[in-house]
Amino acid sequence: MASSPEFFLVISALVFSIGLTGLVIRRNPLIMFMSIELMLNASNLAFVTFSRFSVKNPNFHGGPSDGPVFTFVVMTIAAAEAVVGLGIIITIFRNRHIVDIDAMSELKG
Amino acid sequence: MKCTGNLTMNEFLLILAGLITIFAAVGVIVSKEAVTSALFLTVHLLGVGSLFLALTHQFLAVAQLLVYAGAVMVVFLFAVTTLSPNEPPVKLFEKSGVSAAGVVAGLGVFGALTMGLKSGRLENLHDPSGAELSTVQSFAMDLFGPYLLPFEGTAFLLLVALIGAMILGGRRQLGDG
Repeated sequence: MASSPEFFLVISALVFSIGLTGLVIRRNPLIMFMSIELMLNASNLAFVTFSRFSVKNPNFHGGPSDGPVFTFVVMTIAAAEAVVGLGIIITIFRNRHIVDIDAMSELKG
Repeated sequence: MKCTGNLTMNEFLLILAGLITIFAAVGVIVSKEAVTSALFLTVHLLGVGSLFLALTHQFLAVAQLLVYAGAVMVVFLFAVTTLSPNEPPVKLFEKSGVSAAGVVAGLGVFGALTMGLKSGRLENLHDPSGAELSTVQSFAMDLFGPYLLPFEGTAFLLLVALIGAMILGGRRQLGDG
């Protein structure tokens, strides 16, 4: 049961939904960033699961490492996004001393 | 293989890792303090890493450990400890209905995703025992073979992110000059 694709895909779907919920209900930009990381991780898990359970499918023409390559790229994007996004948040905090996302709705310099 | 009840040891550990992953994800979005959220996120990332290991993608598990649970979490904790002291208390459930909308959106997306699971398209997914699985070697051959261009793209992306972070972080010094 536990080594079936459904097990991993249900975990992935749950984590993605939790991330989406957190992104909507939280007002702290840092926690919103963490929710985005949750969603990226859920998609990574789905990529790896599909990659692993597809190698015996006769209609699948890719290699066994196609999904992991996508995961690798997503990890890089997450790292870049964390660095630039947190840099922006820290810059805004330095200038305005707020950590509420609703108060950042104006883009006036 | 040792048996505990009617679960094998492997299945027990796998389910445990899955539960830890899910509950840590819930902890990220319900914690009041951002520091608690960041630590829950670390636990979640380690759980996902162990699931990668269970799917026999050892390289990704190690990369998850080093890149996510190591580097990215250090950046997060740095930002959280920089910003936290003056943070006003965040209300988890506001009266504006935003949180209700968020929960409804989350449940809807979860329903849609699991409906995709039940549509019978997973019959093409087989247990890969005996098949050629992804190893570190085949991963490297793919990454530096057919996927060389995306790999170089990630290098460019990281360079742009590095320059952006330097400009954001050192703006006062640049503005003075």
